[in-house]
Amino acid sequence: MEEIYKILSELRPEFDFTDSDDFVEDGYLDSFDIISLVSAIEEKYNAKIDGLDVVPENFCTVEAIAALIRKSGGTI
Amino acid sequence: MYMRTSVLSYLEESAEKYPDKAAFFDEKTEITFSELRRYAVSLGRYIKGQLNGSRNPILVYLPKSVSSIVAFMGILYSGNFYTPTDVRFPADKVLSVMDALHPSAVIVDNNTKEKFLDFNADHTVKLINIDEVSLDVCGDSKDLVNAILDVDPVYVFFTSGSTGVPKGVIINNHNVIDYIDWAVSALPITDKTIMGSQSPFYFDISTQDIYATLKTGATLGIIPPKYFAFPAKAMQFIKERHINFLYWVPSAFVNVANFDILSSIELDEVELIMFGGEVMPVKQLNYWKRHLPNLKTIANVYGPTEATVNCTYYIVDREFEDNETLPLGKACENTGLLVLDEDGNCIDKSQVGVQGELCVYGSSLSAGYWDDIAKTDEKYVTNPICKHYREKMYLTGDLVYYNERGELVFAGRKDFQIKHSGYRIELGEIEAAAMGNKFVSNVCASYDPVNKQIVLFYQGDTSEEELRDHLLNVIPKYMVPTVYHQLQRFPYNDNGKIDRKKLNAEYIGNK
Repeated sequence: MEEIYKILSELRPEFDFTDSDDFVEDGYLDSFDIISLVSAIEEKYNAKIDGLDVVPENFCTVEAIAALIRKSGGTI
Repeated sequence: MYMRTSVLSYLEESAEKYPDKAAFFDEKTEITFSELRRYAVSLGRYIKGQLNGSRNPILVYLPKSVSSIVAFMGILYSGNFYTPTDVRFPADKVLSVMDALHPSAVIVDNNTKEKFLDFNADHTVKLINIDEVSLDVCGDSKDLVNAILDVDPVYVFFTSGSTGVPKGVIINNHNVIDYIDWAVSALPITDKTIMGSQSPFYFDISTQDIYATLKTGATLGIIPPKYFAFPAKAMQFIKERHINFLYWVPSAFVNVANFDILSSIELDEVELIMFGGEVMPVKQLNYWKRHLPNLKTIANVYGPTEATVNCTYYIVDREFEDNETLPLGKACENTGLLVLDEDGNCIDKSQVGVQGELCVYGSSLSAGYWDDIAKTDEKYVTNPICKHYREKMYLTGDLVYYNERGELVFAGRKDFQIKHSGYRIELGEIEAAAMGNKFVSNVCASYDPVNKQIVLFYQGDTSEEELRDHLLNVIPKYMVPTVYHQLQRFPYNDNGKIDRKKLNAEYIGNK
């Protein structure tokens, strides 16, 4: 989880992601962040994320992102 | 009948012809042509009662929604003109537009009013809360429409100036009418067309979205902006709402392709895709072509805001390899184009491959920049082929050349042309070559003038060495970048284009 927070804060250093319980609703991640985040976690966790899984529910919290990584074959 | 001096005549006619047909919809609301007319006339009369005279600038501070359309039309009925902003803009950005425009009023709703008051220290500007205006009074609109001249502005759009101060481009009724006349004749837009709007309303792709809809009795579906972060959501929306016409910036198409969404969600109703605003990479265009079973028309369009949306177009009529570039094509009808070399001489079609600056003249040319006569005089010059009277011509700052088919081809920004080792190099050509590598999904080439190095920023699953090897095979060695930055994230500006200034500041840093 710490690592995911680190990736997120590298993307958007201006936000404190531990403060939010829904990154998407709170506007912490825009469309370009999502694209970058997907390629970052694919590389880091050796996952292959299906485009259909790129939906708000899978990016709203670190827990959701972790679940997505596991579902996509990544090791976390 | 109206003499067509105002874009409102489109709405008047469509409200008559298609009163109960859906004109605009967003995620939550739908509005018919007759409802839109009724609400807009009511709002127009209200605004007219609040302000003195006509031709006043009015800022629209509403989310991208059906109510923005009502606001735009209401402002036009009142004899004034609009400047849209994005409610997601940071406060500073909205305030810089306020400072440049000095609007006579700002249109807000119940939700945006507080936010606006929060960051706007100047409480003297008049606020009109659209939720508090009675929109069902309407009545006759003839006097309002007849009062409008075709030289009256429709909107002022702000583009980012090179100095960082926004430039307001003034677009009049006759500019929009001239553009829309071309659009509906060159493109298959009918009352059966359902367009899917991606562009923000402050960007001029929306001019076609809105006014081609009003003119033809088509329907415009506003795809929720947040869905473009999650392309599958946007594609589902398109499918569920039977959208069949997509005019977007290239990056929106590229994102869908890079996530390979169309393999899972088939858009079998989409018949036309159209793009402009930056260069569409052929690799992702070919992806869309492969995945849209009923695609009939692909249009590549180009034009500066100053010449009202577009001044050239190319209807794709042949196959392109992934590393090729789409041509800009030819002039839109009733648009004059000149290609001028550095000495001001015209380059013609027989001079294949010779580059010059593209210059535009004709009825689509805007009146110039808001409150900036000096900048207007700098960019809108006298047409050199018109020797006996004064005619304005706009210098686009874009370099083009004719190919052997007589089509115009984009070569790059005049500002992006570099001189390196004695060669004149287009950064765009390097970008196209890099995009030809199948592992590269996004690129931007730049130049470090201090260290005299070509710099390439890229996203993709390939190493610097591999990318360099690829480039050595497709472009001359003097063009191959020597510095590479593999990025996870490209910075984008408000219009969704790659923010070159930011990249240069961050990685090159000496300018």
